Amino acid sequence: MTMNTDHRPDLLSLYQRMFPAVARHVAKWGGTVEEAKDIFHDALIVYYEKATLGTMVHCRNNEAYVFGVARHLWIKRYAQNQRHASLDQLMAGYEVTDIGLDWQSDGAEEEMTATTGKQIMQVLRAAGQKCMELLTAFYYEKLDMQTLADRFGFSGTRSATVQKFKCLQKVKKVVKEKSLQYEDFVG
Amino acid sequence: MKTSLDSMQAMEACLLGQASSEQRLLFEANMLLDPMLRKDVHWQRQTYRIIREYGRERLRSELEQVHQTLFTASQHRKFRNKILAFFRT
Repeated sequence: MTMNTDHRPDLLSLYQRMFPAVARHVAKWGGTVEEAKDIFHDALIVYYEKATLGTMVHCRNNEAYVFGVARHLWIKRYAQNQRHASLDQLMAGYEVTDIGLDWQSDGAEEEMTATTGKQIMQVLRAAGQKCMELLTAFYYEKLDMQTLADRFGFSGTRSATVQKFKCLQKVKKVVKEKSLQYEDFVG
Repeated sequence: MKTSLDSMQAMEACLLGQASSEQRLLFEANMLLDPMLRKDVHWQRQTYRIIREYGRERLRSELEQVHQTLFTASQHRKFRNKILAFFRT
């Protein structure tokens, strides 16, 4: 299965194939259906991000991979009671190649708070949706420029590239202004 | 601040780990010399994080829809019962 295409993998069949093992595991350890669902969704997100990065080389069995991540998340989130930790915090150190390696900072700078992040997301959902769709398609789904141009109706890769950077600048401006505003308000 | 497409592409390549080592070295040197650039890099990284969070949210809501379908639609009753049986024992 490849996920690095214009279309999401068939989530329904993936769900039917992979969820039972995770649900059985969580049930065995006294969890609820809801908890199994949350763990499973997080595990699929980790898997999806890994697949789009093309770093799935050492794992031939996708089901085993998703199950392994789910089991890890179950231990972290519920057995060790880190219910409110972020997915990145829970996955830190899980593998040599951490998820989202190319997104990481050098660690020297401050992370924005979860609350600030949520507020910025709200602003962008309301006012910057078109740009966010474009940026997500490129940076999260990792579509190539041609596919991106086709999906969003640009005349070619050049104009898609220009538009992508315009959007990035625009969103960066919002992120900057809102961060400074909210953090000022809090602190 | 007006930024050219070239410089934005160069910066992005460095931040996403797609630049050559020479490009990267040059960029790091520029960062040391230019506090404005350092700030800009900071905001760009935060922006990448926000985009990833947005992508995750969308995927999560798609998964939520799939879950709802599997746990409500009549044609998936067999699957649903199989799952729920784990939690009854």
